[in-house]
Amino acid sequence: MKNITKLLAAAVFLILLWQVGSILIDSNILPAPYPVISNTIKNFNGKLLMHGLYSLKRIFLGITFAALTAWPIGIMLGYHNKLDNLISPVIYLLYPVPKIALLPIFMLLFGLGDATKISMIYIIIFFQILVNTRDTVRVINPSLFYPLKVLGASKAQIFIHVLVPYSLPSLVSSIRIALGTGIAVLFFSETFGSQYGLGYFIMDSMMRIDYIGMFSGILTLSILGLLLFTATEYIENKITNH
Amino acid sequence: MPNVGDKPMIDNCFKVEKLNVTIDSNQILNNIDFSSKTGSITCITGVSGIGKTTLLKTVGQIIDKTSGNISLRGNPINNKELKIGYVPQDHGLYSWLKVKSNILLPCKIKKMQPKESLFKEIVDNLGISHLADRYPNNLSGGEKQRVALARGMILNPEILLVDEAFSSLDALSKLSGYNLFLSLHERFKPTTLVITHDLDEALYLADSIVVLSRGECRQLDNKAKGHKKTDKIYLEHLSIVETLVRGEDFDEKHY
Repeated sequence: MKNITKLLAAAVFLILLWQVGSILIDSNILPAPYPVISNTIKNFNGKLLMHGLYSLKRIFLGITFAALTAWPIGIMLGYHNKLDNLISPVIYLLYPVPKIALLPIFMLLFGLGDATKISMIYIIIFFQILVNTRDTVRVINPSLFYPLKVLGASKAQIFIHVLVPYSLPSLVSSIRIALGTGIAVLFFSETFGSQYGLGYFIMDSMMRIDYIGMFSGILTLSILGLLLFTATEYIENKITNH
Repeated sequence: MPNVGDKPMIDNCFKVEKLNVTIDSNQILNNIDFSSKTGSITCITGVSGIGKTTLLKTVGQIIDKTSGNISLRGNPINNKELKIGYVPQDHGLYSWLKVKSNILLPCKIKKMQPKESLFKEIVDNLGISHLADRYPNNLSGGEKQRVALARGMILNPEILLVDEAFSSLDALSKLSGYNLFLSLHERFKPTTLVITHDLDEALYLADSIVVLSRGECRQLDNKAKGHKKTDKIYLEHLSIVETLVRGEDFDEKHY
């Protein structure tokens, strides 16, 4: 309850700041909060919801594919030193590459449809999860494995009963941290060769000099980010607060 | 008179013979020999870093032996086939599992149907039935230790390995922990190895004491078990074990 109150207070503060900014700038480039919020509510069930759902689908699929592949690979690399020594140099070289620069290659490979946008989110979140999970598993106290090893547990049982639950908070934390970048990349990739998604909606509104519509899109994208961030934080708290 | 150096038990069903363990070119255990009677408690003691925990881990096949034999009733130990209970020093409880799931985890690993009656009997004996739905991070040190003991016992194991499980408890909790452990051991009678550096603990719990010193291994029957700390036999045994722990030669004639 206290958190909700704090969030509401922060939202009111930001809206006030926005109002002051719009008065100071006094231009239709920065409309006041009221017409934007009112337009967002009015159009939510129409275009905004449709474009929002397209964006949500892309980010959800990108995160899911990244988690399903990077998490087990990260666990294996963290658990097997030899494998890590072999693969780590490749990750070391690829991790710092600005993935957004790969967008043209992805567009050439996968076309202008969903595959490119989902792949962009995937490739960014993949490395975050991979590196974070590997580093988490690498520092597990070996004594955590002993109760299972004494029982003659197989590697699969150690994976399921220790490595997966131990690294789960790190997975959720990686997703939470990567969400901001993921949404930024989603916006960018939706501005190319697309007719659906909040990125497209925002840029299209700008081209049509519909600044209130543009701000409604930005507001919806921000709310989408906030909801995803809050959801991952909630899951993270649930699985770590034992 | 305590019998030092010989194999003290007649029914020596659990045997460690000429056991050597070398880790990263360091010989940790050198020709370790001892044996335990089925269902007995053997305490392994010695100064820090002498290899007590390594010995226990080798018996549990957590680490591999370099050479030698570890056998139960003449068959080499195989943790995939045997039921081995383990109570680690840090309790080894999984923070993401509730107490009940922690205790029943060995049944999952061994793909055995957990016996609710056995679970109830163990948790009732240890006084932890009210903790079943709590997470380990919300337990006290003594409660964690009892949960770890329950997990070690849930398979009704043939061998129970206990690694300094009482070391983190205060004096009063230790005594109650010892008594709970002894009553549970009396009920299920696993062949038990207890690692401890506390000689009073060894004399309180053990049927037989193995002392590791300077890479050597000496074993004696513990006839002081059940005696008061002021009894002559207790003091005699304490003095012998202290001498052995220091790595000094023991002169049996002196006694």
